[in-house]
Amino acid sequence: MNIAISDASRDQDEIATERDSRRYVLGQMIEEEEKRFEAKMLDHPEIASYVSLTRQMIAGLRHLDERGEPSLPSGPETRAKSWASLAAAAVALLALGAGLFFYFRESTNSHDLVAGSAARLGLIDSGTVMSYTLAHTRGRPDVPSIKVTNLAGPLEIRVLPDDPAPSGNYQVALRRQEGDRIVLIGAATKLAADANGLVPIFMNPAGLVAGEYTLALQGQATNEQRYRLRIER
Amino acid sequence: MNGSGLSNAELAQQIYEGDKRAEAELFTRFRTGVRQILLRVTGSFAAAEDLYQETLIVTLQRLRSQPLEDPSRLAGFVAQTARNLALAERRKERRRRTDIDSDAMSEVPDLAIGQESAAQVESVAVAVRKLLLELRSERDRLLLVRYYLRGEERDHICRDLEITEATFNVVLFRARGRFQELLEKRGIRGVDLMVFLLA
Repeated sequence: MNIAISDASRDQDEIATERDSRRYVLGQMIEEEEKRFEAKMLDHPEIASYVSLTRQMIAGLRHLDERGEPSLPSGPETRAKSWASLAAAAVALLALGAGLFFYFRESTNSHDLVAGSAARLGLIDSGTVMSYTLAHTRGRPDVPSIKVTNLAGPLEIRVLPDDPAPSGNYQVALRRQEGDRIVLIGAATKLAADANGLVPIFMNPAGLVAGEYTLALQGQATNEQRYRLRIER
Repeated sequence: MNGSGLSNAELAQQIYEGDKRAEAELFTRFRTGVRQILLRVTGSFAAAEDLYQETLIVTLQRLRSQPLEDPSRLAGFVAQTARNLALAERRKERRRRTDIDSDAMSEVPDLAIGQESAAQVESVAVAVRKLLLELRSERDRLLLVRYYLRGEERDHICRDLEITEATFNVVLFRARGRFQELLEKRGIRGVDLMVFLLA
């Protein structure tokens, strides 16, 4: 596929191809969609080349991320800086500490809904943790339900990987099905398995509406492992 | 329709009729796509490389011996064959892992990334690093990282970075174009590179 620089005239097909290739590589398609895309990719070798380039981009970025590459900007830190600026401005204008506190709480964006530690969620009551363990078991096709009872404390989900990563490091993405779309709710990287091999993932329950979610866990040299769960409020 | 001008249905029919050029065309036409499917399902460079030829050989044997019910769905048949072989390989791999006791495992080096693929990943990472350093603004670097690494949605990124979707596309496609150039400079062909990837 020709990658032209005349961006204004970039056709919608190329944009759609780019979008699909990324979703395919990241495992964000539902099964039927994935199969349709694969058939299309085989019908159109230029799409396969496109997917290959996307895969390389993601592989390179993950490799840099895993080794702590300094040229890689960190999303949360950048946001933290902007929050700090907002905070400073608000203090100067209003001098209302309590008001700032609630402002920050309500401004929590999707990236902060999922983290590797409770501290990164910035919750009021980080001492009260709702903790659940998630594992694939034989003969239990039902989707486990989690009843959220405390919005102030973090929700901890400890996941037992089917396919443990040799390095013990993982990244996770939480997605919710909304009609025909799968929406990314939050993501976190550099999660470490504990001594029992469980990977602790912390979520801000205030940002989780009731519904069905998929938690995708992935470690180096392992396949993505998906866990379904239902959130009840 | 591809290089030979044959549709998939015509290609399948010609293979059934014993046309050797059509058989060669089958390999050329589907190799990149099959590799991508195998990488997607196995997540392993080595497994994908092993299974890529097997997939096309199984397809070829089927087409030689018996025509497809719907030859226009050749691509779907090839994709399903690749998936079936990859899933069977994964099951075998899991059985192998459970057969080895944990003491023995700790003495075995990580074989999931072979030396060749590890070197390829390193080479790709160097190209990505160069690309990031070449980008003029922190915003553009952040856009790529959030989109490709963190898997965030484009509308969310646009809102957060206060840019339009058109600007997003300009940054993204320029970066992709430049990345392709950097890979080619490093002697990595865009079409066939077999990168180990956690996907």
